[in-house]
Amino acid sequence: MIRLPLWPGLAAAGAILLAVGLTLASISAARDPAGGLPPDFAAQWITLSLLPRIWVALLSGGALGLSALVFQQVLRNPLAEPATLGVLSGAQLGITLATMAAVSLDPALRELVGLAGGLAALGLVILLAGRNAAGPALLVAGLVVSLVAGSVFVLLALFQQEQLRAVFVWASGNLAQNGSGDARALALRLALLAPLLLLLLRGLALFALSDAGVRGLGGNVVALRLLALGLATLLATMVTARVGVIGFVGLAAPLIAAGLGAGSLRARLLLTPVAGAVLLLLADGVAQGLGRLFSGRVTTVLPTGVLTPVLGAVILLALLWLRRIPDRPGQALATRRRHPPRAVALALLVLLAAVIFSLCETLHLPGLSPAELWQGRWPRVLSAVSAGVMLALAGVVIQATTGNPLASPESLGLSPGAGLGIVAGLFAGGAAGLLTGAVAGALLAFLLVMLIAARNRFAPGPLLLAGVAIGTFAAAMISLVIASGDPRAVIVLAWSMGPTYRAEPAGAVTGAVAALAGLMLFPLLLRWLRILPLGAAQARALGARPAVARAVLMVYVAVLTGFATLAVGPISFAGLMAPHLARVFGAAGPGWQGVCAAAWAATLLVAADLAGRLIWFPYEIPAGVLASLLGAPLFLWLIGRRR
Amino acid sequence: MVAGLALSRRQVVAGAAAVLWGGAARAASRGAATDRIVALDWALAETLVALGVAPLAVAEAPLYARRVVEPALPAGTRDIGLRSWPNLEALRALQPDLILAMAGYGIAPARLERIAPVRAFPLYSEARRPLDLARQAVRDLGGLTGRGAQAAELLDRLDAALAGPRLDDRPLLIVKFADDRLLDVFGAGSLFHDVLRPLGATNAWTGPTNAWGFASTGLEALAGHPEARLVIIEPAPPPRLADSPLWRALPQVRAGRVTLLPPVWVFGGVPSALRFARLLGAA
Repeated sequence: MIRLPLWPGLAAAGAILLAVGLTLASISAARDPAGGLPPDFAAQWITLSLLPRIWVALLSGGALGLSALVFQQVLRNPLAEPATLGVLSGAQLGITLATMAAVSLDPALRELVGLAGGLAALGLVILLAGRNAAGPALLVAGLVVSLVAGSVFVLLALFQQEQLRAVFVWASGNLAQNGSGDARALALRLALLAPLLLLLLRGLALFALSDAGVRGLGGNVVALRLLALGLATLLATMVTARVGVIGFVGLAAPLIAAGLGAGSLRARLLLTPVAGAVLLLLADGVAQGLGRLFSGRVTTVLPTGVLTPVLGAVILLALLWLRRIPDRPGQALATRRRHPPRAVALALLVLLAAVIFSLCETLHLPGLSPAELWQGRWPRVLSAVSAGVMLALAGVVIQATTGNPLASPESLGLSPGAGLGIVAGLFAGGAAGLLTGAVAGALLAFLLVMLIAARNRFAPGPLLLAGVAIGTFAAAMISLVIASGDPRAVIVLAWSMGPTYRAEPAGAVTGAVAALAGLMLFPLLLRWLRILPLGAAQARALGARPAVARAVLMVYVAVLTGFATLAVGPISFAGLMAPHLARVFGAAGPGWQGVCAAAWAATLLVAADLAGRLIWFPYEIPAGVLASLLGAPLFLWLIGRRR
Repeated sequence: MVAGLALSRRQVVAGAAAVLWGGAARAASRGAATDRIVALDWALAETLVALGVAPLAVAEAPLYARRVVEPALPAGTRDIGLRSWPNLEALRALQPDLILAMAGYGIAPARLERIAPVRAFPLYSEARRPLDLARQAVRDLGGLTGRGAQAAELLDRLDAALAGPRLDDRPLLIVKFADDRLLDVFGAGSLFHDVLRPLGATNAWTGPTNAWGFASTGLEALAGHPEARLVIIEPAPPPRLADSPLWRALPQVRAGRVTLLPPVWVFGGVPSALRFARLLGAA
């Protein structure tokens, strides 16, 4: 049934030993009188908190693993799971909304709203991906939905500061227990749901046929699949409701099981939940161990949910490196040849109108003239325009070099990498630190993604997955800072959301110079952009050196992304969307596409900045958040049009 | 206590009247004391109000009413946006003579300077003596607003409150819950810590704290101080905390030594210190 390969087997055994060892260490530390706990309380602490915590880790990990397996089987997509498909973000958003409406929710009600949010997200993703559920389009639809849910979440948190702390503490995945209630509830639900799901999966495996074959057998199969997906969503969202968002366990567990040689459905059913349980126990053991190691020096708690993406991302990137991830081909977008110059003219006209209106409106401040506001406004409008230009150019270059229409600074993890770099720079101090951090973060992320992509021959699945891994990792690190309770967290939060309103004259001019330089260099890169997609051999035959070309393009993209992220944050979607918008309006070929995309992305960000200023006066909504809220539906409509 | 509260209300009314009658004339002569002030930080906003000055605008004014509570902002105080990021255009439209900010927090003073002169007070910092710095802020603000007498009177009230009836010598743990499993415990560097000492009480928390004077931790950290009284600053923790077995196993809870204190601003100034001392004495 399972033929265990040697090295992965040894690694798994090591992981299990480490998890058990760390767990035992935290129990013995509680008993240690030097720890300062009164002996009678220490005994209670172990039975009421530490032991339930072990159960919660095992049960949650197992539940997420099983849920992921169901997603993959039913959707026939090896990368589908609750986190990548936006289910966890949907649940998080649902629970956050409910928490803000009523100060305190009991866990059962949390589960209910979490399930509603998770199902809504899942429905949206499946609807968007349509018949492409087996391909990478599903993953991108999931990424978009979870990023949008994430930006709504941040928006709420930013303006509901009374709840900010509580919501972030819960969302960051703190596994601490105050009793055995959660462990019991999880065990009960898992005991009810797991057998049901196993039966459904076995039943569905009998119909492991093509969609056409399934349809021939009648609608019952579709209903069964939907039921299985619904139950798997319930499983994942109940974990979210109890312990917060635990990312990557669902993604990593099935891959670990596959890496351990589990080929048959039966073997995977057995191994996947176990892998998930061990992974979460290990992450929790590390979180507690780090807490003990630094006790007496740190003033905050390390939530386990922050560590799982770190562990999961490492495992995932390693598996991608070892090329153990199955891949499905993606399809390229057809470009239309229409009237490129007219498309560019239209885009520039719209941009000009947006800029003028944004500079002149005084809707909320009738007492002031535009001239008085000019001093504060031109930097933010300029930085929105330049960020749009830079993200669009980066997007066009990335899509051309990877040959993947869903690749972009945002989806490949460059923007989140830059965002993480900015946060690091913020705490390291100084304005210079911000820019260095942004560019270094983007470059590191890109380097990692490209190394992995190259090993996987730039197949779209692994490429996007590596991007998702890096993006989730960066987001986890940022939420750790926010959950720490440091009053600067609000600043980090705002930074990570793309605050054009923070634009300073000097920064705006620097950004504009970078954008101009990007625009001027762009024509020099066009030759490479046309040659590289033809393949390395062709490129060499045409006199280009592919390695040099890729390196130069990589630095180009990373620098532009770094500057842009500094202005509008990591989640604007401008780089993902603009190339598609340009195509829709008839700009064909990388040259026209670049210019046209730049104008549209700039328009999007100027509009987002303007709307952010007007909607909630005197509070200002960061342009990055609004751009993703405005842009994501637009993007989804664009990719939906293709069908 | 009640007398003190009434006095401060009367001062507020007097201050508001002073703004109405004398504000325009004073603002006209630049460089002189001013009342056209915007406070971006609540510690400075509460100090202004306690001195009888009605601020033009305060950041997140609606939330101030729930977190700082007293002294209440005069009706008509405008909201100027987030404390970390006020609306600069609205700020410019108000044409203040002075902007008050917490040093090291929020928007860089250099940007505000383009709108109006800025005073940034470093109440919470690595210096870790917020009460001393808050007293200095009262004196400074008294000078800036021409309310030296009110400032002296406010400081006298603080001294009187701190010299008031001693608390019993049981150590205290001052905490605020983030959710039912994570809490902030206030130690060295917090306003509460500085108030406890002169009142004759000791802060049980001797562990490390950040620059704002608190540490985040789980319930178990409280068990290390079984003899202490647990003082919880509202907003109260979620009701499910009280039902949880671990909470009921805490030595302080078993001995019934838990006190719930109405909201006090944890990063406050002298008025918050007064409110904390009064609420603690009454508890």
